[in-house]
Amino acid sequence: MKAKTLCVLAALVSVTGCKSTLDGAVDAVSNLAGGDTHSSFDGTFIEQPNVAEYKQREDKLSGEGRVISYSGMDIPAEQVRQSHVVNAPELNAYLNSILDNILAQWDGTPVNVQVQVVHSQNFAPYADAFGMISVPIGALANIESEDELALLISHEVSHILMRHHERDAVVQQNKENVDYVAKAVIMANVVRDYDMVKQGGSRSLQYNPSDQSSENISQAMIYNAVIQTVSDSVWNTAWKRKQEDEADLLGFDLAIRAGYSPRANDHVLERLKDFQGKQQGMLSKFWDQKKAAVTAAIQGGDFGALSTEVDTFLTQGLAVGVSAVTEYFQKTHISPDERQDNLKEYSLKNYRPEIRRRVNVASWHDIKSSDEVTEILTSYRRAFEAANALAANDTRNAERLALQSLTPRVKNHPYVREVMYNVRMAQGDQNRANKNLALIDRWQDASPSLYEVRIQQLFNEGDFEQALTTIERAEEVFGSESMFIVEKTIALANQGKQEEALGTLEQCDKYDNLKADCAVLKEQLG
Amino acid sequence: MKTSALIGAALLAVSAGTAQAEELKILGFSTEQIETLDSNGKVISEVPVSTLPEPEITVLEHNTSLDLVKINNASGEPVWLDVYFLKLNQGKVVDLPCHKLAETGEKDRHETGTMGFGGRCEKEG
Repeated sequence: MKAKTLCVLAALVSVTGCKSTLDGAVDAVSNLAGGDTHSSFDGTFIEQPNVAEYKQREDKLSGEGRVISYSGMDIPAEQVRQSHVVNAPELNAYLNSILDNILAQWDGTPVNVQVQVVHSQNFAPYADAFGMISVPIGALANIESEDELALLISHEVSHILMRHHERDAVVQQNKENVDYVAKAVIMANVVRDYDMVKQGGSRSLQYNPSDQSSENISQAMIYNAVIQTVSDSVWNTAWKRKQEDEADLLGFDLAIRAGYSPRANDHVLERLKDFQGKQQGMLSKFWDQKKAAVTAAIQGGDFGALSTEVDTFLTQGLAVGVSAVTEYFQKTHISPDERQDNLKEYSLKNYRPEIRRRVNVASWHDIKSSDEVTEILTSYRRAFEAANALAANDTRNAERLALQSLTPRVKNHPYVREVMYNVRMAQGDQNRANKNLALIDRWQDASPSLYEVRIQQLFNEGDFEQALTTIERAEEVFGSESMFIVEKTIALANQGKQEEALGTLEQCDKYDNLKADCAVLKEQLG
Repeated sequence: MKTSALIGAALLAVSAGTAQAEELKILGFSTEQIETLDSNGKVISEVPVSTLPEPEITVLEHNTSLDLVKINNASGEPVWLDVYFLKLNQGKVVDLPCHKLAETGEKDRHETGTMGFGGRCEKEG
């Protein structure tokens, strides 16, 4: 079997696997409707028996210390964060002090929860199953009071306290959809540029990157960078209605007991509603563009006799993907208006005196005005605008904005360097593009897709040893060995480490969605 | 925190994050009874909302620091109401850069003036 056939099969299997996942996403978003929780009991929610059962726990999140490491874990690829983490010590300390205020109101087993800032221009924070709450830059740029931040964080903490990640598979099914398409483009283009060659008595994969592949990958990364910046929490927030109601109620109880104003809940839900309206239009356009880009990339890939089948699967997979996203946004699963009305009714019943509290704009204003936070918000905004300009083929403005984003504190942050990398690639300047990757000083903050770019760059340069080091670092940072298992095999095989490459492929048996891809690779190497 | 919140709120009149494009109006009430207040938020009386003018009610003044609005009551006298108990035609918004694909020379634009679905970003092809 030729290497090109191998790559087509790999792409084909990936796309069909994607289709099934996307079908699952459609089911998941269709499953969001349900009855009201807020009016089904008397008193406050935190005092209800069905909350009491979650107050005692002994699991991986029990305890204190606020140290969350993904190293050594085996996290499924779809649960790994897709955003870049923003290194902002002062801001982190402030956000975690708000978290402490909220957790102090929880009269159950302490949980090990932490807040981090991520580069997304989305508005809604999200919590992962490992106790990490990610607050997007977009939320910080738009909220006006500490009370708003507290309500947002409290809502996410409540998902963790109520163990929603354990009780439902919605989150696990949903996250990979938005990120999938760019990955498919990259894999299809990378794998097709390999040829199987004989070296002595054994065979090996030899990488010969073509200009067309590099261009396809570059274009996919541009779109991917933009869509991730606005959509990361779309799938994370696709909870069932009952779970969302529970998090609303418990989050409200905890925040109000911590001294924050019920009024802030109106503010965040109004902003969420406004954001969703604007996001819907943006994402629709991105999806249209991505669909065209992926189709063009695959069609440009000379897949021979199987190309028709690939196209068919790709079209079906994309159609389901677009349908899932569209349905998500059109679904009136829990509108911010309805959530606002429910919590208003709840607060009038249970928190009448607390309603007199006004929101505290002063403390957040002080933090937001600090040198660190001002610079971070401004620079990340510029980088986002640069990414937008790039996606609009406005390279000149993209360069101008990207250069403006390189301020002293953030100039070597992964996100701003990724944007600058994409600008240079769009200008056809591979050397300058690569320099941006070399300047990143905290790779532990980088997104998986940027690791992907770095690995491809090292493959292009034939530096498979460094590529392997980068892959192993990514495994540690994201706590996931499945994410880069194909690339790891390629890196090992190209260093002549056939046994290790085969050993890596053996790990594929643990991951249903990778088994078929790896079986094909195994056949080639074996 | 709450004292500082009031002081802070008084010092920092927040207007940037609220839609300002059209006239502010009351569309409805969240309660049957509502307090009427003086300009400092002190309670004057509690009245059935049925005694107030029918929505939509034009807002004469908005104190964002104290979260109060001034309207004319049914007798034409000015009274202040707490925003928390009202449904307004405008709320808090986010500032998200508009994005327009495949168009060169597009200047940076921002969208701050709508509440809810149907903002300008969505309508642009």
